[in-house]
Amino acid sequence: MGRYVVFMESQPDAISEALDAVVARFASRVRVIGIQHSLTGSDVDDLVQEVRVRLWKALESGEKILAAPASYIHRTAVSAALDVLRRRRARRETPARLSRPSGVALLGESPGADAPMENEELQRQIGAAVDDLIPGRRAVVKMYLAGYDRLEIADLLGWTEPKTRNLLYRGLADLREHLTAMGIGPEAIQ
Amino acid sequence: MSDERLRLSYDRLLALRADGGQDRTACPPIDRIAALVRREEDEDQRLTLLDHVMACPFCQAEFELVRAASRASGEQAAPVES
Repeated sequence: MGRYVVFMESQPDAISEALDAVVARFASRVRVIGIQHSLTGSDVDDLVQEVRVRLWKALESGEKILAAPASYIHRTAVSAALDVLRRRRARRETPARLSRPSGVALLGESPGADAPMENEELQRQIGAAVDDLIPGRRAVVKMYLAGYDRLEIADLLGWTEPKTRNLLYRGLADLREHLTAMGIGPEAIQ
Repeated sequence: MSDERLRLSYDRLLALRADGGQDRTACPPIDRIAALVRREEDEDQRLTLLDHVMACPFCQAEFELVRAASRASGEQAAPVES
């Protein structure tokens, strides 16, 4: 954190303003995207700071920063994200994903402490049932259960939406069949 | 069991795995996670990698950070809320 403070205090105003404009736009977008898939605040902050430092070091003038092409900002942002992650891995400090988007509980959800099936064993059984799916459907179902929608899954796999929908529906049907065979029915999670 | 209930349950499973600590010996290197975001590998490799990433709370967080950086700075960047 210290190097960022020194950096912020020593730069001329013109560069600072240009950096602020570019970085603020990027940061807003990262936050909007991050909310969808539970990025932590420290994820976003670390990434934005890294991008800021990289742009400042590489471009060094307000005009260059404002004129930087989108492709340059894109390469800088992705490269910055990879460096943030490498440093975290080296320090063994990778944060886990947040539970549920923004930590929001399901509407109407009011799990009691003694809910019969709400225990670790149930979660592990469901994990085992997912792992038993055939490979072509398993990754798609995992992505869906992890919070990705069909269009995102299709985009990440380079599939059409109909193909994705078909494999997802078949995979979810297989999963329910597995769970039923294991004695886990609709009432399992209260 | 509804889709939403399945999602909730899977979410709790990932939280359990996160609580279990960081054994990253089976995790792919960062460069492969970046390749996944860029769709650089073939379909079988992407499916295999996603199979792990979507079941690992640490890899999933890493995947999302790279993906967010890419999407936020790309030509098809997500709209900014006014």
